[in-house]
Amino acid sequence: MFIPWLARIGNWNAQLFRELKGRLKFRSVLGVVVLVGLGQAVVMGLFASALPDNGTVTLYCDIDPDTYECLLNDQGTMIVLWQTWWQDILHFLNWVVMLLLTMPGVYLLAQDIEREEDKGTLNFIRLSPQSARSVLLGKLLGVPILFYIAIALLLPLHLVAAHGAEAPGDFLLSFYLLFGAGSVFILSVAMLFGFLSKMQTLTGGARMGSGVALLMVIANTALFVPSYFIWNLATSWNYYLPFLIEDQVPQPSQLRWFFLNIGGIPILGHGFTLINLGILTGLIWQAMERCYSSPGKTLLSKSHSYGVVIYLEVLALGFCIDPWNTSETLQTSQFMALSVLNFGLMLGAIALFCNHRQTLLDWARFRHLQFHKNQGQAGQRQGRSLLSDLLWGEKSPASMAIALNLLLIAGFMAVWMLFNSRLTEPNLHLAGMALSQVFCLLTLALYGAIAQLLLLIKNPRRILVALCMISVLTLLPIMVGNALRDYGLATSGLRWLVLFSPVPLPFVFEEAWFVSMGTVLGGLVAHVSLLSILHLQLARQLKRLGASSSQMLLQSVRQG
Amino acid sequence: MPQELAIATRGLTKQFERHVAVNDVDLEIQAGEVYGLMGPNGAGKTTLIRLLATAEEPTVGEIFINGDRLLRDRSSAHLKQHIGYLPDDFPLYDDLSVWDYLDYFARLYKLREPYRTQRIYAVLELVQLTNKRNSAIATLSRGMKQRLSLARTIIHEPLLLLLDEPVSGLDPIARMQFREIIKVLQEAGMTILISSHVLSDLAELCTSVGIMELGFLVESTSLANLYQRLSRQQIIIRSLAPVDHLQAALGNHPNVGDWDQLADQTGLCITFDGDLAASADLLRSLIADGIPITEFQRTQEDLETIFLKLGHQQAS
Repeated sequence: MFIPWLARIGNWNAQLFRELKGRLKFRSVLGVVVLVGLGQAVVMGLFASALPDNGTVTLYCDIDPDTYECLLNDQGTMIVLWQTWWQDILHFLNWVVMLLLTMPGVYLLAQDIEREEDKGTLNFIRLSPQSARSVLLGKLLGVPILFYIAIALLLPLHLVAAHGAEAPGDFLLSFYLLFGAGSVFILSVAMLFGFLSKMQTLTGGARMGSGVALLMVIANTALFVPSYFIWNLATSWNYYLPFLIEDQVPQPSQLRWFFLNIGGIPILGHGFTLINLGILTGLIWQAMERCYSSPGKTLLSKSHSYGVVIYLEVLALGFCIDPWNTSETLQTSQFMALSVLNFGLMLGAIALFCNHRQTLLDWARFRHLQFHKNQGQAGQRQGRSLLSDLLWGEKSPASMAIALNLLLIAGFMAVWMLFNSRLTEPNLHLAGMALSQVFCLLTLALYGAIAQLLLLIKNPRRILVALCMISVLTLLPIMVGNALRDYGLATSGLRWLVLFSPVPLPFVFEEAWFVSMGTVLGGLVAHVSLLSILHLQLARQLKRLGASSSQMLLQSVRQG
Repeated sequence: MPQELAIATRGLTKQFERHVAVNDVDLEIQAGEVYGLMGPNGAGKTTLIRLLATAEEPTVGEIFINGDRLLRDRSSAHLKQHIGYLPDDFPLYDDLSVWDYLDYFARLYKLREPYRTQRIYAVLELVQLTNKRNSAIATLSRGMKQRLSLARTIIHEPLLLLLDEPVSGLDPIARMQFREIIKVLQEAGMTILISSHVLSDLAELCTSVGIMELGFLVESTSLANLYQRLSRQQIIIRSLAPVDHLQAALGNHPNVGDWDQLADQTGLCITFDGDLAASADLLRSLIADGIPITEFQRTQEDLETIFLKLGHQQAS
């Protein structure tokens, strides 16, 4: 099926050309046209069957409030609520359009990347001078092309329904804009997951096959699309609620972000959603470009991780800083939400930028050789300093970067507490929050060190081992707390338990509030000791990995 | 760095756990050479080629292509354009036709019309797939797929070709076709690094060879030098007389070493350390002794014999 414009597209983007060539077969395109035509006919038929006929009362006839029968016009025919009818078709099509693109789109993209990685064909494209962005854009535009065609074929009916429903023009524009941005975001996530399915660091070498693609479809359908619609109804489309939901009057929205009324002013709502989707999509593309250009690298570099933490903390803090809030209950829930976000962020960080055994082996060996080279050239300082390498280096262990990220988080939590202390008198409640936050962050630093140590083990499923271990360590304090409470030991037991939980336990168990100064100091000493032991062990293992084979052999002979 | 070298590596090392797959390799290949990489399974040949193709990142060490440092990131995009890499497996896209597949890669390498079409025809002709240009890739035989992969590897006229076991699994005719293509590419001035277990192919194609063992490059020299140092001269002698008569006649000759009986029992293969005049003397003395000679052929130990003689160790 040779089309001259296809050749022109090929000159612009070779990858898009390849995807279109492989997919735009006459039979496939004809199949899509027929299916979309049939689908539209079925939808219109179903809605037509709901129209009032021969005196049947339906949703779409103007009902006499006294007789509950359809009103008749001068000609003696029933008065049909055509606007409501078209409105329902439009709302139905809004969901269809979103799901028709994203459901198969995420599946096809995740599966396509996974298959190319698995077969090894992507390696040849990597060797070409094409940029990662150009190749990935070609995939994004080309792989779901048949479904883009289906959406294009659905658009006339969507526009006709919008016209019949007398939809505001700006709503239609808003719908297409937010639909486009949301689709690009979720399809990009799907592509990233396609890369992840092949990352041995995550799966331990096991092939995940179409599992990742199916997981993406479920996450998209059950999670992303509904929550995206709800979010838009609460922000950008709050103004259009009377049109979108029958008999709904627009509520003066309380949703604010750093004093900006994103729920009440449509332009702010749109700006906020689109800018954040843009930033998130940009971050995903950066991660994808890393996966594409250097397979085996972590998804995030250390420098990116600092940016991501700052961005997400600012985003979350914006929702938690409210000058009109003086309620202690709301403060507590905001604090808990921020703490859970911080915990999630650190778990994510462990998964996304902690280097694994092979990379750390390369790093340790390189530094070992660099050290001996520098010794040989006395007085000449070569290579990067260890500190700078630990904070910014691509292959170095992540412990120092985790510590810096925790400091950033602590800074943002301090801002939140300072802001809240301005609103209410400094009190025990806020002091308790500050203290529990310190111990949460220290516990997260411990988790970071444990995770980095576990990522050094030989087991190929080391990331799963690390994540399982962290999950167990997280759940343990809550489970033990419950058990202690059942045995009436809550007060004494929880005093210690609170010091080793990554989420603030005093807000789960009230008894945990009563912690003495001695326990706090003891906890601090315990944390510092544990962190020192774990990092010494990490340094020892890295030194061992970096040593030459003959050195290891001689050592074992001596020990033997 | 020396500019005349197509490939130069300095202390190139790749370590997987405690296994050092490539160990401190200093490889130098002159531009225009066909360099054969030999070695037992697990010696590190594939890892070395993958490192040169940037498919793998070295633990330590540096790679220079035409004098420029090759890195895995985007900074080496211009160098990667000069590299063609054919791995031992050759994944293809079954949903495309032969022409579309080459067209796609020609576009990836930014070849413009009309040169793109000319180039696709040229490589199709070279790999003898012109008549298959509209066939679906799924319908091609293994040999054809191998040749199509080679066509894809050279579509952008790389200066350096890295071929990892390119003839493995091919029948003798397909292997011969492949050899002919490599010769044409060599004549076109490409530098070719080829790893293979079929040493007779390497002997026919290569100008230099390297031998890898347990991750080390233990030998790297021109083929002529290798033969000169390690290959013994042999003479195959057949006669109508019984073999023991021939053995008796050879017994006193000063240049004759040990010998092996030929498989068909009609003669001997002897090692001989004399020059041309000495071999003429030997022939003359055998005839004088009344041995009815039917064949007298001077030859050398082949690459396979030399390789086996070196007794290289297999990685375990």
